[in-house]
Amino acid sequence: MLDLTKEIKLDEKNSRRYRRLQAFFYAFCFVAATYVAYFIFFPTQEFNFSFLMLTSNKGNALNPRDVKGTLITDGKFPTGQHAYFDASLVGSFSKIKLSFTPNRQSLSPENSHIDLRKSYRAFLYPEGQPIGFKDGTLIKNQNGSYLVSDGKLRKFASSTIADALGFPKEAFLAIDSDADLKYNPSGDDITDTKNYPADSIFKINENYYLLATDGALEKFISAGAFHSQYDESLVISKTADFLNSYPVAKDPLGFADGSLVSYGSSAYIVSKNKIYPIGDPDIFVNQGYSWDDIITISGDEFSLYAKEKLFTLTSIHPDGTIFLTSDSHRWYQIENGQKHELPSQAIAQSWLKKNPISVSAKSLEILGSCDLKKEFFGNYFCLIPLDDTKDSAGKYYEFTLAPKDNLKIDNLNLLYEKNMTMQNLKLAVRSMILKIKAHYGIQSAPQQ
Amino acid sequence: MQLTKNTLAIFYKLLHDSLFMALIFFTLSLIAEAVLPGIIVSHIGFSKMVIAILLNIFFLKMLAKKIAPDQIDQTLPAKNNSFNKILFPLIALGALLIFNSLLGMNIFLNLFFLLIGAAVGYLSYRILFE
Repeated sequence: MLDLTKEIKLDEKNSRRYRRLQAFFYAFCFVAATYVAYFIFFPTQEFNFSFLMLTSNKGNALNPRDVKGTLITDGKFPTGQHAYFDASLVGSFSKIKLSFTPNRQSLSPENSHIDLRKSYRAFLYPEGQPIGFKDGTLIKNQNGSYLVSDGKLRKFASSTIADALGFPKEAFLAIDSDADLKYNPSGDDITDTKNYPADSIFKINENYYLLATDGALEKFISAGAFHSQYDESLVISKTADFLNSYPVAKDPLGFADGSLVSYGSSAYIVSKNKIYPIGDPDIFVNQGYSWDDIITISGDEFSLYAKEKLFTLTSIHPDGTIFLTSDSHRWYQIENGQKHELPSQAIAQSWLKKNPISVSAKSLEILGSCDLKKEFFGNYFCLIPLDDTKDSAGKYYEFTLAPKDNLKIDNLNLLYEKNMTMQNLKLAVRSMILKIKAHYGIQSAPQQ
Repeated sequence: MQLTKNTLAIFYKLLHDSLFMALIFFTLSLIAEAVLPGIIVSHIGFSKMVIAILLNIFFLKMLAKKIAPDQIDQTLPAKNNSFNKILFPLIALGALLIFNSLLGMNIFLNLFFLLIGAAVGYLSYRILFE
């Protein structure tokens, strides 16, 4: 047997004693190594929120909040009022163990009900009014031709007016149904052949301009910015003299909300006048984005925006993000804390200049639930299997707690676990191989 | 007294075994971490491993002073030979780990840094130990 210290002599009796202890020690090491391997191949992930020591909660992990979204800091969960908490994480887990430690003065949380939804955080926003065609879109149907101007549908009084103004015929989007038109309120007919309606688009000396509602020409900062918002076919070509007809706005127009851009070695999301740096490639992929949609920008374009905090796995997709449900084939756009349906493919195409983020409509439903039961040491727990969440894109888990009694909780804990099965082992090994390949640049990072 | 002396010797031997296992675990962890960053540190921090190894060495040093002279076999060759045997594999492993950590860099710049590192290491050794 292995003896690393042959120079230390022991008598027969003590030598046997050492051999026994050594065998025990190596057996212990083997068990410890197996234990470590188990955690590597079947990792767990834990989230904790202490209502007793609020400062110990890293970055508001779990974010327990009431219906209004106010953070619950006193641990009180009144009966009849739903409370929410959440976690965002990557990885395919088999089940979640939810543990509650009630305060000594609290009523029992036994049989309190918990529901789970899993999706992208923004996709779980409440649904607002549907959105119609984007400003600047040209539409035609059997009744005539239209321009979407300042959110309103303005009909060209005659086709000759559209021709006289120079709107390209091929740019008019043909729609079969009038149903698509009801989402934009009707505006005045376009009758003037001398003055352009708002949201007309021009190309002058390779620069792109949009006529704003205040009558000023707003210049796009670059061709890339223009093409992130509109098709080339929409432009009316003009000479430089045209710039004398309208004042030119001071501030240039940037990229479409929700555009993905890269500057230097970093990728960003653009929304309104803000730019969100994306934490790392894994976050980019796990938030549903596609590498094909990245537009490389210059320093001038980058300087147009105010840099925001890092976009991470827990971040909410910003305004302008478009989701497409893979199962029901419906489009939704995020605006001001709501998701708005884009009611038809024609309407969606007027907004979409990149790939939408694919999501499952089923992810809006309850994908798992459980009732709290008593555990050791006065704790209460329940398990939610995650089999039904496997196909749901998005890494955001939202839990809804319906307390059975007035509760006061000291500690809230979530433990994501993997079952020790051959399938999970194979998945873990496969994921590791993919990660190693990604690490050495052999292929892109795996989506988990 | 006899029991204490033997017990100390057994502890000394077991501490060697534990140091051996800890170093193997540490080396394998370094390799795994180099190939797939985060695979080990997400479970066990390297600082904890280093502290455990240093504590092990500290106790070994303490016990070594208490080993009775009659328990040491003077006829066996000095241990430094075994160190010489593992020196080259250790240097090779260290070089590979450094090369791996600078993989994102231009390969010639990477090799240049490696050579510079080797030269600094060798000269430091000459200055400190010769």
